[in-house]
Amino acid sequence: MRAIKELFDTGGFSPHGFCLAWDQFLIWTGAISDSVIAIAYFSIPIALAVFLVKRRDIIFPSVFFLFGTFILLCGATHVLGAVTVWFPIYRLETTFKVLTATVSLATAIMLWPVMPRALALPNLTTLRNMNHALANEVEQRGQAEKLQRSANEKLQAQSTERDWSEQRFKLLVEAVANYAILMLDNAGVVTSWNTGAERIKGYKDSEILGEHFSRFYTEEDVAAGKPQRALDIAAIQGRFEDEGWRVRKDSSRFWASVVITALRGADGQLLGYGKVTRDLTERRRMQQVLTDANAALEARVLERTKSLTTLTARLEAEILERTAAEETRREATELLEATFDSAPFPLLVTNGVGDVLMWSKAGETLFGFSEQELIAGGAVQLVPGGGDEGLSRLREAARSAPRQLELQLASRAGRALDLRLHVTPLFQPDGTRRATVTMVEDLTQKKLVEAQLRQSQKMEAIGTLTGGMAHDFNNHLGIIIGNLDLLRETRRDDLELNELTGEALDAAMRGADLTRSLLAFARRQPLRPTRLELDILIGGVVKLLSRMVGDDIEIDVTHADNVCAIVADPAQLEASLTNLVTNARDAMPQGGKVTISTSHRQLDKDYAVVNSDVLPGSYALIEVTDSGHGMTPEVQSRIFEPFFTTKDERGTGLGLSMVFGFMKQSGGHISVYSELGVGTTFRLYFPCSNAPEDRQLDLRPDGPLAGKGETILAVEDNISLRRIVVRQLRALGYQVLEANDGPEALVTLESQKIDLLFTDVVMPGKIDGFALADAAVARWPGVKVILTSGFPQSRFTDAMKPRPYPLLSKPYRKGNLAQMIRSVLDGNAELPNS
Amino acid sequence: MAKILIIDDDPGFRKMIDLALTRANHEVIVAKDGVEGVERFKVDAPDMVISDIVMPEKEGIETIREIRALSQSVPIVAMSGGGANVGLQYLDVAHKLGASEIISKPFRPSELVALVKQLLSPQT
Repeated sequence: MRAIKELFDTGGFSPHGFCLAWDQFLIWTGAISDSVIAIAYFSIPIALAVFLVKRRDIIFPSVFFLFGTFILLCGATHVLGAVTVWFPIYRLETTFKVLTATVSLATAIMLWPVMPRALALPNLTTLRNMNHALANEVEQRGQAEKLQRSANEKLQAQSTERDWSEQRFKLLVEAVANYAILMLDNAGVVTSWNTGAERIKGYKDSEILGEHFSRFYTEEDVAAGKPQRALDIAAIQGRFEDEGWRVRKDSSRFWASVVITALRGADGQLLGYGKVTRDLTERRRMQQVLTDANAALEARVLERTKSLTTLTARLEAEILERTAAEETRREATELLEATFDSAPFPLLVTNGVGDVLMWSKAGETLFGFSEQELIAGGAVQLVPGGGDEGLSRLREAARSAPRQLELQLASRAGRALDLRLHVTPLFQPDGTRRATVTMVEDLTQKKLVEAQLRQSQKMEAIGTLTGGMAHDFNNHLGIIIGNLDLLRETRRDDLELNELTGEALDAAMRGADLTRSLLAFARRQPLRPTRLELDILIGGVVKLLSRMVGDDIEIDVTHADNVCAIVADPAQLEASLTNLVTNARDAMPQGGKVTISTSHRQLDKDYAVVNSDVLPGSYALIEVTDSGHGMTPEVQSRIFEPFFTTKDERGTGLGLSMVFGFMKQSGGHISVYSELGVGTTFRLYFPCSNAPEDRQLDLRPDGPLAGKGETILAVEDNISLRRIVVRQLRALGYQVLEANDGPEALVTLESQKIDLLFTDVVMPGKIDGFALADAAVARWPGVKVILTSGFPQSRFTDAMKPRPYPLLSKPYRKGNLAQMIRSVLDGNAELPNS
Repeated sequence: MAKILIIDDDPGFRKMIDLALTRANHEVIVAKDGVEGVERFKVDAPDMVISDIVMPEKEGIETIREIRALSQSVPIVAMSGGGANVGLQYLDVAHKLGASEIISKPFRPSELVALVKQLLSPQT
C-alpha cells in the first residue's frame, strides 16, 4: 500500500519538467519502468500477430489489429516518456499520444458492434458439447468415408486394372512387331492394322485400311481362290491355319504363317475376322539352312558311320583274328602242357639258376614227388643223401651242350632207379642260360630185362656149346662103348682084358651120362611128352623121394583143385623133381621140411616182359620149397649153369642145368627164390594143355563148327592177341570187325550190325568187358555176347553171377573158340549161371 | 638074317655097327651119307635102314623122308648123339616123319642088336 501511495504521491515534487530531470533515482526508476512497460507493450502485439497468423480461423481480426496497434502505440508512448526525461521531444511524444488516442478510440468504438456477435459465440461447455457431438459426427462420417473410400479404392483399382488391361492390350497389339495383327470385316476388308503388320507387309494404316486382304496373296493364290477359301474355312471351322508365300507392298515375297480366326458376337453373328500373320521367311531360311546342315551332317555321319563300320568290321576281324590267335595259343599251351604230361618219361624244366619250373606227371609217378613239391623244395629232393656227386654231375651237364649221363637215384619210397638223364640247356640269344630241360629215361626195367636177357643168352650160348660138344662126344663115346663091348665079346675068356675093358666101359658110360645131362640142359634130349595130371604124377614120385631123403626130412604135398593138365615127359619131370628134392635135402643137413605144392597161375604180360622166355598165359605151377640154408644172390644167378656146383666133389653141376633144359624144352619156365638162412623155393611153370579137346573137334570150313558169315566184333586191347583171334575167326568163316577198347567198340556197334560181341573182360579205361556187354545188349537186344579173359572164371564169380554171358578163359584153342561161338550163335550155349 | 643098310658119316661108328650086326648074322651094307644111302637103298633093297641124323651132304631127316617115300614098310632106325641146332628135336622129328624107332648115341651094340631083332620080328 505504501508503495502505491508513494507512486501517486505528488508532494515535494515538481511537475515533470522540474524535478524529474535531476532526481537520479526517480529519473532512472521512471525511465526503466517506462522501458519495461514499453518492452511488454511491444511483445503483446507480436504475440497477437503470431496468434493470428497461426489461427486463421479467428474471427474479428480487425478488432485484434486495432488492439494490437493500440498496445504498440502505448508502448511507444512509454518509450518516449523515458526519453523525454533527458531529451525534451515533447512534440513527438504528443503525436504518439494523439495516435494512441485515435487508435484507442477506434478500438473502443469497434468493440461495440462486435459485441453481439462476440456474445453469440458459444461458451466453453457449449463448445465442449458441440465438440463432442461434432466428434461423434466426425467419427461416423469418418467411418462412412472410410467405407466409401474403400469402395472407391476397389472401384478405382478395378477401373485402373481395366484401364491398364485395355491399355496393355493396345500397347501389346501396337508393340507386337513380329506379328501382323489385323482385323477384317465379313468381306475380308482390312479394318485394323498394327505396327507389326506395317513392318511385315510394308503398308501404312492409311494405305491399307479399307483394302481387301487378298492383296497380300500371290497372284497364283488369288487366281486359285485361296483368300476366299481361307475366310470360308475360318467361318465354318472357327479357325484357319496356313503357311505359304505372301506378298509385301514392294511385291517381294515372304514365307508367312497365317492364322485367321472368325470373330462372332454373343448372338453368334459373324462380326469379322482376326488375322495374325507371322513372317517365317527367316525361320524358313534357317530351317532350310538347318535342313541343309542336317543333310550335310547326316551325309557326314553316314560317311563317318560307313568308315566306322568299316573300321569296326576291321576291328572285329582283328579281334576275331586275335581271339583265334589267342585260342590257338591257348590250345597250343594246353596241348604243350598235355604233351608235356603225356610224355611217358619224366621231364624236368629248371630255370637259369636251377629253380624247378615244370615237372611232368610221369616224373611224379616215377619219383613220388609232385610238381608243387619240387617247385617248393627244389630238384635236390630227387638226389637225397649221397647225391652230391650226382648233383655236381647234373650241374656240369646243365652248363654245357646237350649231353647224357647215367646215374642211380632212388624214388621217394626208396626204390633204386637206374636212370639216363638227357640234359639239354636252352640259351637266350645273348648266350646266357635260359632253362635246362632234363628228360629222365628210366633204365631200371630195361637193365633188369637186359640182365635177364644176358643170363638167358649166356645159358643159350652154354647150351649151344654143350649141345654141340655132347653130340660129338656121344659119337666118340658110342664108338668107344661099342668097340669095348665087341672086344669083350670077342675075348670073353680073357679075364684081365675083361677087367680092363670093363673099367674103360664104365668110364665111357659115365661120360655118356654126362653128355646126356648136357644134352638135357641144351634141350636136345629126346622127350616123350604126354598129357599129365600133376597130382597123380607127384603122388607117385613122392613115395620114392621120401625113401631117398631119409627120416630127418619131411615131404609135404599140397594140390590146388583148379590145376590144369600139362603136356610133358613124365620121366624127365620125375627126374627134375628128384633133382630138386635132392638139392633140398643137401641144403638141410640137420633135417627139415620140403613142400611140394601145385597151383594154377596166370602169367601176365608184365611178367613176360621181365622174363623174356615166358609167354603170357595159364600155367600149372609146381613149387618145391625147402627150409634150408638158402643161397646168396650170386649163387642164385649161376645155379643153372652147367658144371656150377656148391657141393664140391659130390656134385656134377649138371642137375639144375638138366631141370632148366627140361623146363625150356617143355615150353615152361623155372625161377628160384632164396633167402639165406630161411630157405629156397623153385617154381616150375608148365603151360596148360587143352590138347585132348582139340583133337575131338572138326574145324573144317564146311564143318559143323564153322561160321555162316555172321559178323563178330572182337574187342581186345592186346594187339597180338587180337590179331590171332581175328585170324582164327576169319578162318572159321566169320565176318570180323575189331576194336581196341570199350568206347571204340561202342562206336562200331553204332554203325554196323553185329551178331556177336567177343570181348576181353579186363581192358584199360572205364568200360570193361562187362560194362560193354551190358551196354550193347541193352541197346541192341539181339547181340550175343561171349566174354574172354586171361583170368579163370572163378576170378569173376560175383560179376558173372547176374550176367548171362559165357566166359572163354585164355589161353584157348581154336576149337574151344569155334565151339563156344557156334553154341552161342545157335542159342544152345551152356550159360555160367544156368 | 636080314640085309641092313647103315648110313653114318662117322667111319668108326659105321665100322662098329657093321661089326656088331655082322656078328649077329646080319648082312650089312654101309653108306657114308644120305645121298649114298638112298642110292644104296634103291640098289640093294635092304630089309632095314639104320641112319644117323646129323650128316653132311644130306641130313638124316631128309634121307629118312626119301626112303620112307620109296618104301612104306621098311623099318628105319634113326640114331643121333644130339643136334648142333638149337630147338630142333631131330629124333622126335625123325620119328614123326617115318622112323620106326629112335636110339640115342651112345648106345651099347647089344641094345642095337636087340632093337633090330625086335623090329624084324613078325609080331611087330
